[in-house]
Amino acid sequence: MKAWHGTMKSYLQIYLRFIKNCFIAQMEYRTNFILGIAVEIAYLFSKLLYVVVVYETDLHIGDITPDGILMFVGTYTMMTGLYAGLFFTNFVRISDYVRTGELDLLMVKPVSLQFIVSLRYIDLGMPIPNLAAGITMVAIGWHALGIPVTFYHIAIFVFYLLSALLITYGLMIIPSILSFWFVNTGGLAGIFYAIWDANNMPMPIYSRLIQRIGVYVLPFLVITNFAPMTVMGRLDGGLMVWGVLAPVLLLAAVRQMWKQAIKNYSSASG
Amino acid sequence: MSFYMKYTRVFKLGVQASLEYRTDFIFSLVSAFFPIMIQYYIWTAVYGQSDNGEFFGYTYEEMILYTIMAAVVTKIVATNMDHVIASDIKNGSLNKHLVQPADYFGLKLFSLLGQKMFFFSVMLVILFAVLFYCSALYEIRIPAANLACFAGVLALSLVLNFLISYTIAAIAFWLAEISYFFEMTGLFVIILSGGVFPVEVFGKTANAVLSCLPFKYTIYFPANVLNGKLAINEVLEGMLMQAFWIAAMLLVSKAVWRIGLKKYLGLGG
Repeated sequence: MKAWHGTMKSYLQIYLRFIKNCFIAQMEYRTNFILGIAVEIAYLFSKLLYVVVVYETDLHIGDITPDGILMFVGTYTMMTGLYAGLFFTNFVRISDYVRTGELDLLMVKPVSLQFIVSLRYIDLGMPIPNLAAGITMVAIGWHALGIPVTFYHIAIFVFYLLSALLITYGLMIIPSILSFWFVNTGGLAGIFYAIWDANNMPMPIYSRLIQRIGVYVLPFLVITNFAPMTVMGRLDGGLMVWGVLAPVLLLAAVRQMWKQAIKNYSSASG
Repeated sequence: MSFYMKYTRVFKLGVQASLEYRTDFIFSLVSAFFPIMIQYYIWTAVYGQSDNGEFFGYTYEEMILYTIMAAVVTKIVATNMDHVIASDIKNGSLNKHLVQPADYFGLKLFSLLGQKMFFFSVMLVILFAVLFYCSALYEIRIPAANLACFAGVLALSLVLNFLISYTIAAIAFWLAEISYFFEMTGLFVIILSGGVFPVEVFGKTANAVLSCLPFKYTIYFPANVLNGKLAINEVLEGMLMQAFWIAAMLLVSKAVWRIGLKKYLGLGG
């Protein structure tokens, strides 16, 4: 237990170093930093169009009102920001590491390879617009629906966001891991981004089959639906448990996949 | 080499280059399917809950067809050229083009047309197949004249969109750093062109402004030709507007490039 605790602590310290290092690097190229934010604002703008459509048409999904839908869109926007800031840059680089043989160098470092490859770069600019807009939307929806602001409600919301973050990591890294076998997986990654966007709307809007697949097979829909659904009291016990189990199972599966991928690494070129 | 030979050669090179990235194209087709699916469910929910048969001036069938057509047209007209041209300006690759006895504009245009040739044909076939299926499903009749005009409309859209990209890319003459910039402009151009939602969604004022700009003639207009919303005289009128905007953008782009080239330092290369 003690050793495990120590390992966690040192990894946390390394991660804090990563953040500091990335912050320094980004402050050196400030124009890039600002342009990154501007690009995210453009994407955000295209997502907000959906909100416009929801309110303009007074869209009700089952008995979810436009304010309720806003909470889902807000959660989706927050998760997009977190994904862009914490994982995106790393996952894009993985196929380059494999192609150029840079992975050789990373392998000899005295930390977990998966850790350094998948969490080394943190973008501090890109998530800002998404997080700000997302939190605002959730707050507006939360208030409009009259959900009580208690410690329990906020804690459970944050808990399911964390579960969502783990699922995001597990799902979005899959195309990158596949690049150990197929050199170019840009197209597959594009498909994953497109599926990611399906979270823009609450899942009851989709057909039953899509919901089943999105919750139990490739748990994309868990990412942005479970947190707002719990605080709205729409998540039944079974699904609540699944929200805890899904990230654990997914991460275990991804870990196995990663191990297979490393075995397959031939260190070509470099 | 004669004028004709020069550009047909570039055109052929473009065709060859495009055939090299077939898998990428197939993947991008598959990923175009998801936004269509999401919007299909949104619109089905919107129209299903209300007795109102029309939203933003579209019936349910027209809206679904618009969504499909707009997604496919976006894939066809999207050029990615602004990025390519901007990096040519920024890293100095433009230098060699300035001394070559061929116009940079012509080279880029013909290589784009060559690159799009194959996909343009594939997409047309797909579009007509989808249309055939949907019109049987929703029992809408798209006038034969609209179908006949569509290939022409789409070709004009492609050229117009190229001119817009070419003009926007000239901003690279003034910018110190371009990395993300053109991703942002590209996205805004798609939104303003009606690639996400029909432009009616933006409201009356925004719509009036957009009517004075070329963007909506690249995606919004072709998509509406194929969902049967426009009568044949409106289609022909739209094509005239496309021709007008192509001429106008040609002048604007030439002017912007002339000013830009005076600023050009030719660093790197």
